[in-house]
Formats: sequence, C-alpha cells, structure tokens
Amino acid sequence: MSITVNDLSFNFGQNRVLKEISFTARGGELLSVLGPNGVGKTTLFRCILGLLRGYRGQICLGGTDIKGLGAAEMARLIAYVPQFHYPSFNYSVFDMVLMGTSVHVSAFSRPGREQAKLVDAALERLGISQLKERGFTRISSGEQQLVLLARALVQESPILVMDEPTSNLDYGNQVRVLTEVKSLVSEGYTIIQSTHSPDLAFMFSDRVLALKDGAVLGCGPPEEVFSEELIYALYGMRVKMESLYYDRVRVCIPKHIADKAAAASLVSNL
Amino acid sequence: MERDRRNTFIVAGLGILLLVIVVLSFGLGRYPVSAGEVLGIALSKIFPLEQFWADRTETVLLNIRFPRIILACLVGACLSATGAAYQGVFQNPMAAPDILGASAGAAFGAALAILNRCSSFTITLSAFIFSLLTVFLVYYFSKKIKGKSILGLILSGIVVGSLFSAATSLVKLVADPTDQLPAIIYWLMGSLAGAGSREIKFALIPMTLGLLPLLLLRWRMNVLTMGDDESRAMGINVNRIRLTVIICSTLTTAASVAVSGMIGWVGLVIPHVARKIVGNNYHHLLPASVLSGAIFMLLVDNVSRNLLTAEIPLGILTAFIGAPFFIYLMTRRGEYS
Amino acid sequence: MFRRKTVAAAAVLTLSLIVALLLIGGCGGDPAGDPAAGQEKVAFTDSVGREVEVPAEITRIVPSGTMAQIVLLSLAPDKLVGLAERWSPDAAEYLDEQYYNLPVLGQFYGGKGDHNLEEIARVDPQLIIDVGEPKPSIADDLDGISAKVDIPAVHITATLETMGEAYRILGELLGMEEEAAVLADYCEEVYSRTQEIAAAAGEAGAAKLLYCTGDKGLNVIPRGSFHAEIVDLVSDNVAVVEETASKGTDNAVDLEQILLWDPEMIIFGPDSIYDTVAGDTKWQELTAVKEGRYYEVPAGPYNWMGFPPSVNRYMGMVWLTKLLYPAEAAYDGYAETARYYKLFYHCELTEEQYTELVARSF
Repeated sequence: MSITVNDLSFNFGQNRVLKEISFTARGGELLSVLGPNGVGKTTLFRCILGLLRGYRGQICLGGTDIKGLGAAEMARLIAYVPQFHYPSFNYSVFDMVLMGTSVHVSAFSRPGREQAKLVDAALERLGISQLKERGFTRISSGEQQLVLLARALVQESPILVMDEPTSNLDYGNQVRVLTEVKSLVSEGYTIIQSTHSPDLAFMFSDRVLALKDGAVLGCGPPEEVFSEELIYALYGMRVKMESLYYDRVRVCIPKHIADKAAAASLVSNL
Repeated sequence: MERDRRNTFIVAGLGILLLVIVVLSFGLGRYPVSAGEVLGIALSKIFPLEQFWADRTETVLLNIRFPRIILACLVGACLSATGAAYQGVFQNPMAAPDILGASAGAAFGAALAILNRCSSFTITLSAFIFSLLTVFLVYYFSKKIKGKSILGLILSGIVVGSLFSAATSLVKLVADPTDQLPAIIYWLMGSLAGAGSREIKFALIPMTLGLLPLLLLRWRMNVLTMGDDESRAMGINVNRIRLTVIICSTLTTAASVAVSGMIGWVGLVIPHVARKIVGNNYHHLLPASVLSGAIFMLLVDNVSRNLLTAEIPLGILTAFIGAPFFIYLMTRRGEYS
Repeated sequence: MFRRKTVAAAAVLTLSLIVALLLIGGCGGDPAGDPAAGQEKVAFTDSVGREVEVPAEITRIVPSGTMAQIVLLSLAPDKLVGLAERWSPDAAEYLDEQYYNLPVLGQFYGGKGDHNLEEIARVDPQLIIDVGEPKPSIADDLDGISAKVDIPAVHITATLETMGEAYRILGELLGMEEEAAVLADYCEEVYSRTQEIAAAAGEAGAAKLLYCTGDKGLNVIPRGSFHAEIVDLVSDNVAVVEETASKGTDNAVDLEQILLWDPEMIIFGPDSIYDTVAGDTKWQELTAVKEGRYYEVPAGPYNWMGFPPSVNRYMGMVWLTKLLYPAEAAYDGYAETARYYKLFYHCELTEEQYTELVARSF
C-alpha cells in the first residue's frame, strides 16, 4: 500500500514547520527520512498518522485521502511505533503487545485467543518471546523498542510509521531491527522511518527523503539522493563519502578525519 | 495463561468474600439479634416458617441493616470503579472520583438543601443534581481551554470544584449554627445512617447505568493509559471513550455522594490495592476494584455503626484507615508479577 | 481441576445465599402482626395533623432532639429511656444521676442528625416525641423514622407563646395532666408577666440592648432573629440589620458598627468576652462598657437565653426583665430561679448555686 503526500504544509501558530512537502512511498518499500534535529520529522509523521488534522495539502494511503477517515479506519491502514513510551502504569509485555489488536476487537470485548496467537507470533518473530511475562518498565530500552514494534505488527496494518526506532538500540540490535524491518518490507509492508544514521539509511532503505528547514531537499533512491553536498546541507558537516561493495554500501567519514588519515598514509608510504 | 487464570480466581474469591461479609454484617449491630434469628428471617422469605422472633427484630434487620449493607456495597463499588477508571483515562495514578468536581458540587447541593430546611430526600436529590451540573460545567469549560484535553479537564475541574467549595463555605456562613450548620457539617463527613429503601431505589438506576458501560469498556481503558497519540494510532476514538467514562463515572459518583455524603480515599486507595492483587490490566482490575471497594465500604460502615453509640462519620473512618494503608502499600516493594 | 470444583461448590452455596438475601430485600414491608398481646392503642393527632396510633399507657419515651429533651425532662423524667444529646458536665450539678446517665441515642433534629436507629430500637421506647417549631418536611421525616424502627413518632409544636398549650397536649398524651398543668401555668404566667413589664416600660423606657456572642464578642443577635425573641420582647434591640440571614443566625459585625449602635446595655453570651472587655481599649469607647452596664447571660445547665431555644428561655425572661426593669420586676431573683429549677430540672437549687449562676449577670 502506498503513501502519497502532496504539498503538505503545517504551521504551529506563526511557525511554518512543514512547507509543501511532496513524496511517495510505494508498497513494499522502506522510506527513511533524514534531517537535522527539529526539522519536523515527528510533525510529518503525526500528520500522516492522522494525529494532526490541521494541515494543508493532501495525504493519501493506498489512494484514499485520509481526511475522511476515522481513528479505527486509519488504524487498519497504518500503525505507529513511537520513539519513547512513558508508561503511567506498568503492563506486562504480553498485554502491551495485545493492545495493538484492539482495533480488530469490538469496543465492549477484549482480545481473545486469536489475538493472543498473533501476539505470540510477533514476539517470536522479533526474538523477544522470553520477555512475555516481564513488566514493560523493567526491560531495557532496546527491548522496549522491540515490544513497541511487536505491538505495531499485531495491528496488521500494511503501513508502519517508525519514529527513530533505532536510536536507543545497541549496534547489534540496530542491525537486527533493520534487518527485520527489511524482511517485513519484502513481505509487502510499507515502512517509513526516521533515522539519524546516513550509513544505515543507505544500507537498508529503498527510498530516502531528506528534509531541511521544513522543505524537501531530496527524495528518491539513496544512490541518487546521497552526496557529500547533501550531508553538508543537512548536518553542516563536511564528509568524505566512500562507496563500497559495488555501491551497495556508502560510508560517510568526517572530512577532517579522512584528510588526516590520508595525509598519514601518504607519509607512511614515503 | 497462568496469570490470567490466577487473576480470575482472585476476582471470584473476592466475590465470595464479599458475600460472606454481607451475611456476617447482618448479624452485627447494637440491637441484639442472634444468628438463628437472622437465618430464620432470611429463610422465612422463601419458606413459610413459624415466627420465633420479635417483630421489632425483623424491622431492624430489614429496615435498618439491610439498606445500609446494600448501600455500603454499592457506594464502595462505585467509588472504586470510578477511581480506577479515572486513573486510566487521565493516565494518572493519583486520580480520584472527585477530580472533576463531582463531590464539590454534591456538597454544595446538599448544603443548599439543608439551608432551606428541605426533607432528607430532597437533600439527596439536590446533591445529585448539582453534582451532575458541576461536571457538566467542568467539561464545558475544558473544551474552551486550548491544548491537551486532559490538562484542560483537570484544570477546569480544579477551578470549578473550588468555586463550588467556596459556595458551600458561604452557605455554612449563613446557616443557623444551632441546627443547620451542624447538619451540613455532619452531612459533609459522610454517613449512611439515614439509608432506607428510598435511597436504594433512587441510587440504583444511575449506579447501574454508570457501572455497566465502565465494565464493558474496561479493555479499552488499558489502551488509553498509553497516551492520546498512541491510543488514537491504535484505532481508539479517545475523546469518545473519555467522554463516556466521564459521563458514567459522574453518574456513579453523583449517586454515591448524594446518598452517603463526602467519602474520600476509597476511590484513590482501593484501585491501588486491587492493582497490587491483580495487576494493572483493567480486565481484572475493574471487577477487582468493584468488589474490593464494596468489601472495604461494608467493613467501614460496620465499624461506623457498631464501634460507639453515636455513629462515626464514614469520611473520617475512610481517611484514618485509608491514608496509613496507602502509605504502607506504597512503601512495600511492589513487584509486577 | 480440583480447584475448579471447590470454586464451583462455593459458588453454588453462596448463590443460594444471594437468592435468599435478594428475596428478603424484595419485601421490606410490614412484618406480620403483633405476636405479643396487643397493648391498647389510641389514636392521636399531632400538631401537624398526623394521625398516629400510640399506646394508651405510655411509660417509655425518647426525645427527637435537644429541645424535646429539655421539655420531656421537665414533664416526665421518669418516662425517659434515652437522651438525644449527652448532658454537659456542669449539668451534673443540677440533674439527678439517673437522668444524667441515660443512654445517648443521637438527635435527628436540631443538630448533627447522628441518631443511631438501632440504639433507639434497642432501648425500646413506645413513642418518639419531637417538640418545637415544625420544619416543612417534618411529616415526611417523622413518618420515615417511624417506618424504619416501627415506633410511632409525634410532633408537638411549641413556641415561646404557646409553650403552655404544648405542655397541656403532652400531659394528655402521657397521662400526666396534673403535672403538665403546673408547668403550663408557669409558662403562661411568666410569659404574660414579661409582656406586662415590657408594656409598663413602654416604648420610651425600653432599654437599648445589644446581645453579643462569639469568642470576639462580635457576633450579635439581630432584631427579628429567632434567637432574639426575648430580647426583642423586652427591650429595644439596637442590632438592626437588613438581611437577617436565615432565621436565627447571629450576624458577624465589626466594632465600628457596634460603636455606631452604642447600646445602653450589653449582654454577652457565655464563653464570650465578658471577662476581658474591661481591659480592652477598643470596647472602652462604648457607653455601656464605660458605665459598667454589661452582663453575662447565666448558664447552667443551659444558656438561659436560648441555644437551644427551648423552655430554658423562660429563665431568660425572668432574669432579663429583672435586669432591665428592676422596679417593675420586683420579684425575688433567687425564689423565682429556684422555682424554675425545681419545676424543670427537679433540682433543689441552693442559694450558693444561685449566686454562682448569676455572679456576672446583675
């Protein structure tokens, strides 16, 4: 299922946060959103999720404009994996994930055996079945992130929105989660995530959306969008971009370190 | 699954405990009634039995003890359920039934009626109506406050609630200090002494109308504790559920305060007790709160009418029992299962 | 599995118990007739028109509140089986021990409403009596209490003027016409005598009086208030306020207002500032204080001027007229007081006790 955004603009009072943003993420794609802190990634996501309604422009999910959709209809199309969850009450991991099935259950009943099976499957898939009975507040933040991802999975929506899903994870978990995400994408999920790591974004994404000052700086496959100029424009950091493995991987190295290393190797070769 | 089944047993156990205490409460009271007489009177309603007790005994049992026992259970059940529900929809463990001013409004209604020397049923009615009115005002004003709806509700509740409290103080100021003022103060301290079948019939409808939807919606309350954004993203119509919970809770709280006066702590402490026993999942938490609240209130009312000759107001007892118990609960290391 | 069976068994047992209880609840009406040999009943119409069946011979009564308690103590102390309110400790000086130690049942009127229904049922009175001014809802309330404890309840209206009549009705009800007549005559005598003295003093001679209460002495009883009946009757109550907020409150005013009124005489309620006012420079400005014409209302066991506004107020009438118009009220203070105490408290008042009572009142 595709996400199509046309000329999306949003203001917080006088502050113009999003300026005529347009992009498309097709079904079965991972779209990574890159941009400096505070550029409006979360606002963009909240608009797409239907949590902010006061935007101008058009957002379509699978061709349907979301303006007319209610919460339940939205939830069947798109699920949310937040960056942090501050719990007021401690629930077990199982119960947390079970909540994701609420949209498939009527208002007056509770999820049953069917939904419990979905939960078990999701936990299994993400390798956190052993956490099932643990309290959510007692597990590590990386594990919490995986739980939130599992919760989104059981919602069985074709589109997932993930707000910086790997920020809290150790390197191993980062790669594991992204691999998992990639596998979901290959099953047909459409996933849009925000990330601060250009390297990983390049490695895993099908499309990249670069945002600066609320506007689109670049959108398209990473090989086309990524460049040293782009990184400088986004982060104000001069980098040397190296391409590896037939351009399947690109690595950004801060320029001053790259230059120093190059100079050192020159000297050592003499 | 294990925890689930265990919790179901616990809830069933609470139900049985409640029944046992209800039965025992019939035997408690200043008027001497033997267990045999209790049983006799009870059975005589089903089978024809030779009457071996005094008329007066039956009157005491049916007209004095029975209404009090039933009302104590209902009030305790409603206040705890409402407290638990509010803690969920406001995502705040410190929420209590009077967070939106329902109690303050009821107090004003009762004080006003006492000032005008109304009959005791009119006092109850007045308390009920003003309670509903107050929450309506709170909700209405909260809609005008920009920003997060929960914050708006709480702020509005504080403001409107304190307005009505001030109004109640004004009523106390102009009341006759020989009879009206003590009557107001005593009503505010909470008591089921005047409970009769009239009060039961009056309170039963709003209490049932309120409790039933709360129990039906209890799974969704779990989701609401995750926060507005996440709940909405999971497909829950947050505003509608919150409004429903508020309406239902107001009905139960208004009815409870109208018949029993201001009783605090029950709505705050009992849900936490229930959380320690069955966990935070509202599927078991809400029924557990209902039953624990009923048990607690019944025990407190038993103390109220039996410890001394004069009745001890319920609000005082719940505070003296509830507050230390709350401290004890909070200092113990609560391990989530 | 085993646990399931136990739970099921327990559930069935308790279910049958619930059913039983529910059936009780369904029928909360009149219990089946009188098993004991019926006491003879007569019909009685009380002061608000309620027709109540009461026993022909009444030996056990309880008061509904403090006002009724004082009245019933005076007329039929030996028939009392319970009190509405505990007597204050200084009442022990005047009251017989057996009356002092009666069980306390709580009051449903004129006070907290903390009556304990079961306690009432336990002491088994034949009749609950309410005396005083009728509330609008009184018929409803008394019927309610009657239904709950299955004991008849009656209301006898009594004001300062009609106290005599009230006593006569009570006398008829309790079969104590003679004793009631004595009390009724006394009330009517004192009341008309008070009126005569006030009339004799006339408008011009009416003393300008202020009745102050409260721990700062700033709560005045205004003209027209329920509690100012006696003051209004025998003097010119200078405390004229526009809104007598509800019948019978005191009004909190400030010293400026009192200075404006500048009464000739001030009476202070007990526990007010009678002791300290002499040394208080603020109050020195008042004529009454400068000339030493301020007094304290006597009290023991009850305030003579009211609080509660029951028969104790007759003592207030006796005292106040004597204080204000000693020429016209030429009776012996001690004799009159002793007479009251004998009639109403069944107490032989000694001269010492009298002197102590009125030490600050003349």
